[in-house]
Amino acid sequence: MTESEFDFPWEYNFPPFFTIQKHAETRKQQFLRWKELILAYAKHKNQAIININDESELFHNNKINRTLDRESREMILNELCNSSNAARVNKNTGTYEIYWLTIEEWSNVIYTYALNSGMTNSVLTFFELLNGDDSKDQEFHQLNEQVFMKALKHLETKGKCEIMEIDGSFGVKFF
Amino acid sequence: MGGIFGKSKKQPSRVTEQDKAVLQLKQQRDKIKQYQKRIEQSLEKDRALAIQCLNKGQRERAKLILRKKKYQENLLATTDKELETLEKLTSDLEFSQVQQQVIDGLKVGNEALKKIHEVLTIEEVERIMDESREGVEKQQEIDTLIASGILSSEDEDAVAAELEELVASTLPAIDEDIDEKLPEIPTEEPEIEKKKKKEKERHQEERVALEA
Repeated sequence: MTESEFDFPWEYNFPPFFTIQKHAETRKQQFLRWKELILAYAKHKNQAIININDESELFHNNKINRTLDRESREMILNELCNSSNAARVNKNTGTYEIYWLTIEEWSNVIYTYALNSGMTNSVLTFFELLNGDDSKDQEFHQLNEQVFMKALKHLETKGKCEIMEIDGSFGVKFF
Repeated sequence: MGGIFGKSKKQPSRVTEQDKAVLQLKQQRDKIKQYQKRIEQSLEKDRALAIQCLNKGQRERAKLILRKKKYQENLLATTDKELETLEKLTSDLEFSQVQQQVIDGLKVGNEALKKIHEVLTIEEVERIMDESREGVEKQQEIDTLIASGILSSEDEDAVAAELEELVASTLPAIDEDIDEKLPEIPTEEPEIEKKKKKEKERHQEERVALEA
């Protein structure tokens, strides 16, 4: 796969961006930008898991030699958790699931697709939804299976689908 | 399952045995598709490898690789056929599920129609019609009773008298001798009209003369 480079925003090359600001108003703005950056980056890379202990280019800009320290990363990720854009997977390893669309939004996208393509009342495999040719131009194509599962579970509680499992691989029936 | 302490399940599962079968078929299809992808990739690699070997002058090795490639191509063709069978079976299953739903729908409709017909027997309709006719008659009786009950014949006379009075006071008195006050109806034509007529007659005479 050919992956285009992620287009970092200008703040990324702005050294103070990597230090948590003291002034409350400024810090609020800074957090907002960081949140946007993380979501955009994860979406671009289709990366559902972010580990705050990884020395990823996301938190470390080689060009200006700046790094966002671990504590700050955690603060920002917590902010993301508060807005339903992330969830902590493991506290010890520092991994988070990132939702550039919230679970609620994902479930709407998926359900709308199922409705529009007349797939209600029929059984579909996770594989064909995530990797099939029919869903290639869909936003959830090749989405992380855990996130996808969470969105479907959300739909299931609303009675809009039912998840099935045979031999460890999953299918879903939309209603 | 679950017994007394089990959570009361909110809903029975809407997944049928057929759904499970469809899922299994589709999973099988997915596996074949993944397998095909893998073979396709290895085919491409083999081709590149064979070319490399040829360039190096290893004819025998290139041939061996091509043989393996051919074998895999055959496999691919076989899996294609299998895929077709699977997909056909899946859509047959799905289609019969749809048909079943149609039949279920028809059944429900039929039941409902039957129930309605049970209620609507001919005797029932006759009974209802009789009852409503009785009702209308009764209403008419009540009407006449009420109308005659409130006003006595004296009251009716008084009402008539009041009406007379009202008519007398509101409408200008229509004189009986109105004919005397009106002018006479003329018996002759008005003067002007007469003149005009005469002139016209003269005109016509002149014209006749000219024509001659």
